[in-house]
Amino acid sequence: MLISRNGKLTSHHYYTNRNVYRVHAGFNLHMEPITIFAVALAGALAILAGIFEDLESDTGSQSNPNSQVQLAPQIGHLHRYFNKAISGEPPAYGFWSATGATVAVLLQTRFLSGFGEMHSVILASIFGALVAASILSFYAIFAHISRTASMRPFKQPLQLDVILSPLPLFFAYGFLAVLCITLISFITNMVLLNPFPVPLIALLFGITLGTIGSSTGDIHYGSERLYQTFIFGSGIPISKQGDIDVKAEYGFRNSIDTPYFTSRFGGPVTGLCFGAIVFLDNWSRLFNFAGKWTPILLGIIIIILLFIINLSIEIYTRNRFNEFTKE
Amino acid sequence: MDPIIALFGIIIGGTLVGVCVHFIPCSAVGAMSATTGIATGPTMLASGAGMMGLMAAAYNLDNGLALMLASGAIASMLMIALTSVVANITYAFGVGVAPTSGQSEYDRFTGFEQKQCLTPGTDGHGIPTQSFISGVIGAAMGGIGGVLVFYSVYTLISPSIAQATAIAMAGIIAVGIYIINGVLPAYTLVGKTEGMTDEKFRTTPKTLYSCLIMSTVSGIFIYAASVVI
Amino acid sequence: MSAQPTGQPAANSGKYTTTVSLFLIAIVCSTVAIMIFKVTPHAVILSTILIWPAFASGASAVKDISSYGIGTGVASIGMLGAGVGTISAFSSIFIDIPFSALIGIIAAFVIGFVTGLCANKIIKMKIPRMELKIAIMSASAAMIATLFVSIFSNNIDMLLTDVYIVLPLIFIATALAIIHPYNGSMGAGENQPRTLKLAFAEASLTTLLFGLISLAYTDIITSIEILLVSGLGFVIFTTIFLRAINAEIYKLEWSGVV
Repeated sequence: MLISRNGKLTSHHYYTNRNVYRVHAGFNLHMEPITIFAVALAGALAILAGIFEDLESDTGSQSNPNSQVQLAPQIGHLHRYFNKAISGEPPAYGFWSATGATVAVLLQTRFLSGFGEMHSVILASIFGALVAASILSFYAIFAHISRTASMRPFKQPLQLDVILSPLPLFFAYGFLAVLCITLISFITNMVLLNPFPVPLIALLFGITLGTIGSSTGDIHYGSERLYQTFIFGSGIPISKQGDIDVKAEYGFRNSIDTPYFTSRFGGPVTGLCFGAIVFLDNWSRLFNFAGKWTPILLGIIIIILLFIINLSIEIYTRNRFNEFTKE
Repeated sequence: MDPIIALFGIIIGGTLVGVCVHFIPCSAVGAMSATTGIATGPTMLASGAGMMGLMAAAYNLDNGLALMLASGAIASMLMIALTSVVANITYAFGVGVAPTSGQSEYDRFTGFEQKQCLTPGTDGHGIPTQSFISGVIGAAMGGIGGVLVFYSVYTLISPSIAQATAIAMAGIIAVGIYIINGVLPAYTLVGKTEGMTDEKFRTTPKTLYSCLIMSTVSGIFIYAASVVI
Repeated sequence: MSAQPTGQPAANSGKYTTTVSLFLIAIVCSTVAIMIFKVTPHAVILSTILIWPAFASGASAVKDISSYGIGTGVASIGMLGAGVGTISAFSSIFIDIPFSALIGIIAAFVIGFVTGLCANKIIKMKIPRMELKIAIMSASAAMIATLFVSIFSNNIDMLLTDVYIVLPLIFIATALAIIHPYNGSMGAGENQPRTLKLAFAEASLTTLLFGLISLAYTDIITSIEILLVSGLGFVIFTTIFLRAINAEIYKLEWSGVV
């Protein structure tokens, strides 16, 4: 085979070299202070990653609400939203996270001797996130100008300030989200001893984060921010799709004001979801009271609790929000 | 694990992944709270859940296949359950609509009347109990399928390369197989489904056959590449 | 720019090229690229240039399939192609015979073709020649992945870093590079020449990223070659792409009311 034909790969290993990866023969995690701290830190970073990811996607109207921004010029609403659409959030965030983590891992091995383990990870992650955010910006600008050019039959103009003013914003949000994901990946690999390499963990977390961002936080943008003229709780009929709000308090709505609104609710909720997934998944692995199957038991208990929460939300909303549908 | 059993592991795992997509309620128009389901594409939602399953299963690589499958299923279920709950929280407090199915008269599990809370002109919104349960079942299947593929590929390639490389390669190939098997059902679903109770659930055999064929072809290639040649 | 007639369909800034002919160009170029790299790693400057048509062929196939309105996202179909292509390319690493790289590409074509057959015959999507389009997409992704795997594994100094570190990035970067040109240009005025220009710009951006990463793997000269030619290509293709935008945009202005 191609890798071992060189005879270099099997002999010397990145992970065994640094004694980070080891085969854990017994049960995985134990109640050591460093492990508990790592679980808590990963959860906290995941909350931040979720918040920044959602705000970044809202700034560029990425993912599903994008269809409304795309549809608006066709029904006569010319707008000043940033129309980014980088191929759906999950692959896009997989890409940014994998970029950041790959660059970070490669740099970290170089920084290791000079800065020590912890500082090298943080410093390398910052550089990795910078590279990822730069590529994000290029892709975003290309998408916006090309999509706007495709809107020519509907007389949608390309305004350069619509590109230039949100650019630093989603560069910053993208940078922070990728930085958090990269740090979580390092924690998962180095302290929690996941056998996957850091870039693969970042890819997996990135795809999951993109999924969560587009399925929880984007609802707040897609069905409340874009349709703020509708009365709260009245729902948005399918016939009204594309009929988005293009006017702001004064002037036209732009993408910089969007995070001002969605950071009140959509962003934190995404952070809550991703943080809870990362935290609960790791937390259930801390205990060992029923042998190897403890995390499974705890997981089932958590899922039953979530079912009860879901049911109570359903009952609450059915009692609370039925005045628009009760004829 | 015997290599030939591993080949069947890839095929069964890939097919499970394909079928699981039918169970997970999702719809892209859900982001405008205009249809029932979690507001993203079927493939991507299933892969998001499967990725968490793979990650959790990797911790148990030395603890046997049963524990790997269980932990993968639990992590996937946890991801779908939490996403459903948080999406419902967003629908409740961010948009102000109640979880409602657009197709069923009554919820199969709770018996709530669905028309009562349906916004006129929409096809449902949020994740009602029946879709929640369906999604959790689907996530369990997806998690098991993904982990089965991962473990099978790992056993196929681990004799020829170092362990860390084998884990990474098996992980990335499992991600690839997960995603390619998740796309075909998305076509039969035309981008939206309510889960088990949806009318399109009857198209599951189509997915089953196509994913079976596809997993067989890709499984045989991986088997041939790593074992035979 | 703003003096153009209003409300007309977008001006087409180039000729339509069929996906099959693009694919034929791509497969010749990519085979040469991979072979050259196997013979002498210092000709990587040529390999980098010759791999770009593969991105264009993949992007064109994505456009052909997605423009039928398939009911799920462009992202999904692109991930399908990239998934088939990259797993074939990665699996072909284990084949221990000469020209194993080409076997990966052929396998990607076959698996993609079978997938298309399933989609058209069993799921009954009825998209004309979908088998061929998915096969082209997968094979293009396989070519890209194969070249990158060769660059990272065939070279010097793997003492500290192993090739498996970059496999996830190869997978997802290939996927994004072939999905995004069409996804980023979607709309009523979308046309293939502009999509292909964007594909080339993003192809050179992707090779630029891998050139940056190859600094950790290869000797410095190889990396600098990739970086230089990719940077130059990125500037050139972006300029061409922006010219196309300039010709096709309805109105270009600094700011204003809409």
